[in-house]
Amino acid sequence: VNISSSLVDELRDKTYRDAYVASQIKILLPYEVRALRNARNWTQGELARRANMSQPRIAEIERPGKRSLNLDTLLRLASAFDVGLQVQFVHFRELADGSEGFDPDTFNVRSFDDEIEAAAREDEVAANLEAALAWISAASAREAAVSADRVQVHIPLRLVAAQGQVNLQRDLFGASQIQLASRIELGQQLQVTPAPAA
Amino acid sequence: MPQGPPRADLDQFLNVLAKKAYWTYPDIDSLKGSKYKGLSELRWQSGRVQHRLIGYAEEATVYVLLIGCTHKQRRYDPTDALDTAADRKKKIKSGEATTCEYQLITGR
Repeated sequence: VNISSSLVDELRDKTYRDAYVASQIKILLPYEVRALRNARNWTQGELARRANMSQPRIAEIERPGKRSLNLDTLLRLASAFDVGLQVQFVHFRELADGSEGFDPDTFNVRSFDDEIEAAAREDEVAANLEAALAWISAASAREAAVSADRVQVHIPLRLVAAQGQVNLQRDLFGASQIQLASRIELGQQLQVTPAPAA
Repeated sequence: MPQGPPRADLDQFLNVLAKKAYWTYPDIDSLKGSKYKGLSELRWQSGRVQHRLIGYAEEATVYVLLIGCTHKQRRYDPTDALDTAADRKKKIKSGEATTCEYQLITGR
């Protein structure tokens, strides 16, 4: 949060400050519920069934500002989504950062089972990453990042050209690098081909 | 613009909408009636009061806000909000009125 931002200007007023805290719950939480439901491809009826609520109540919960969400309701929703729920007092900076960083289109929290599965997969991919990087050659990879189902490796273009062959999804990444993004399975051998002329 | 809690809710609401790739119901709804063709309303609530921002999509990433009002039991307050919005749109389109960029309240 920028100290000279319009938000900080507004927050200097105590009335707005209090209202801003409330708006995090009244406005943002409905979008979070909607996003979590959409990420699971559930209808409102499906969420209602899992949370033991009525569908119209879910519709109300998902409308920004429509309904006051109490802790009991939130706990029932957290249980239905099988995710954690954290309620704590925080600095305004943290509150504002959370609001700024919130993306209603991509917000998601994995369920407990999905979290465990993803962690196991990350371990698997991480183990394989070492072998993959060795194949590419230690000197070639400037940086690599690993997540649940994806490995990204940045390789100098000259090295890619030298390797010959390939079949990975690729995009030109600056003038001298190619970005490769691919699911890497255990035992899979990476093949790299020269980039097409830009 | 409203003040106090409704204002904070509105700021939060607009910030969320600004991030969304597509606006869908119940956040937005088109107005009915040929008189108001092309106009839509952004819908949000603060406390027990339903608020509306009447406007229209100018292009993919521009939404023109024409007037703010409240809504209760199918009635707008002010009662002539829709007519005012339609009139303002006409004036903007004819060049008689102009628009300016709305500054979202953000921490950036």
